[in-house]
Amino acid sequence: MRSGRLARFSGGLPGLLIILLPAAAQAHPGGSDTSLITGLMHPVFGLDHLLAMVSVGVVSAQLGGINIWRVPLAFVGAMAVGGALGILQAAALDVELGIALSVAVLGIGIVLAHPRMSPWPITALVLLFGACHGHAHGREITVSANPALYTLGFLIGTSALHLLGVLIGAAARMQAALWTGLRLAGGAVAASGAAFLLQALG
Amino acid sequence: MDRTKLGKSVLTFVLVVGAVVSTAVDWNATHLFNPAWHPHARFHDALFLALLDGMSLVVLWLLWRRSKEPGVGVTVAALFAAAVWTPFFYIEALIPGTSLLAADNVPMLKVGGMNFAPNLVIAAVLFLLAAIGYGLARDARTDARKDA
Repeated sequence: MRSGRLARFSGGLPGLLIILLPAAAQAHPGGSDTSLITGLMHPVFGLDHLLAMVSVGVVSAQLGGINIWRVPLAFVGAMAVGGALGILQAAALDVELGIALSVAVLGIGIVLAHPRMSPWPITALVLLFGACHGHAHGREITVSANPALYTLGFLIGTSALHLLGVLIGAAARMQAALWTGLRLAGGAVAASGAAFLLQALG
Repeated sequence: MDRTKLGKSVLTFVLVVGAVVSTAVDWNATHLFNPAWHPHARFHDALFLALLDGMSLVVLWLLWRRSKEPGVGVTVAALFAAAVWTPFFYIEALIPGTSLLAADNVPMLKVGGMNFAPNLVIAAVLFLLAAIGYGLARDARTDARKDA
């Protein structure tokens, strides 16, 4: 009964997400002078960021227990550090490649993750990916933007996407059909990541 | 993590993010320190922020305190979030001369080919999350009835 209600409740989430997405979602659409709002919307309106960040939440819920907090917090923490480096325009390896890789790896993570597996490999990868996403957000700050508000904005936006992923993952844990569906969705995310990778390499 | 705790966590996110974002967005020269605003208008903005932040803390305490009626905290948190975020949808229509936008050049969000004020989108997302949180945590209300 409980799982059924949750399943019905969360079944509309992907649809709502689609409604809230712009018709033509594309990464890094540029900035504005409203620092916090720009930062807040930046992760949501970049498809690569969006998929990676929702996937972090899904994987953390699949792992369960304290990982529901630990994995997203690792991503957000690393993102804050990466964001600061990006704002300072510090040199980094190919961040776009890292972002594309994050979508592919986290998609595979959704396919493979289960409560009995060790959380540490995925946590380590999430730290790396969080830094990449943060650097990309930070270096795209506009001259007129307030760095602190912009950073606060993209950290909150990222947290919201993690939360959405946690809700999806938690719903899937309660019903076998959803769990299977989630793994298929993970495969689709991994395929999207592969496409982003080809784009980044090409 | 059980449903109730997940729901309470979602409501916590709504309360914390709502208070932080509102304070951060208003604490600048376009709102609270806008020289073009009448001092009393700025006073009211400060009053709103103080009330929002203070009430958010009170509701967080109510939500997570040990209680024989845990459902009360859940209901209050959801209703408080609804009370804060739903006025964004009707104030412009209700009170002549008000505007969602602090300036004419505020960038609008294009969603599905339509333009939306960014604060309206934030209000919609937080209201939606509050509803989800309430739906997940409403077992707390049932548990309380069983205890009674």
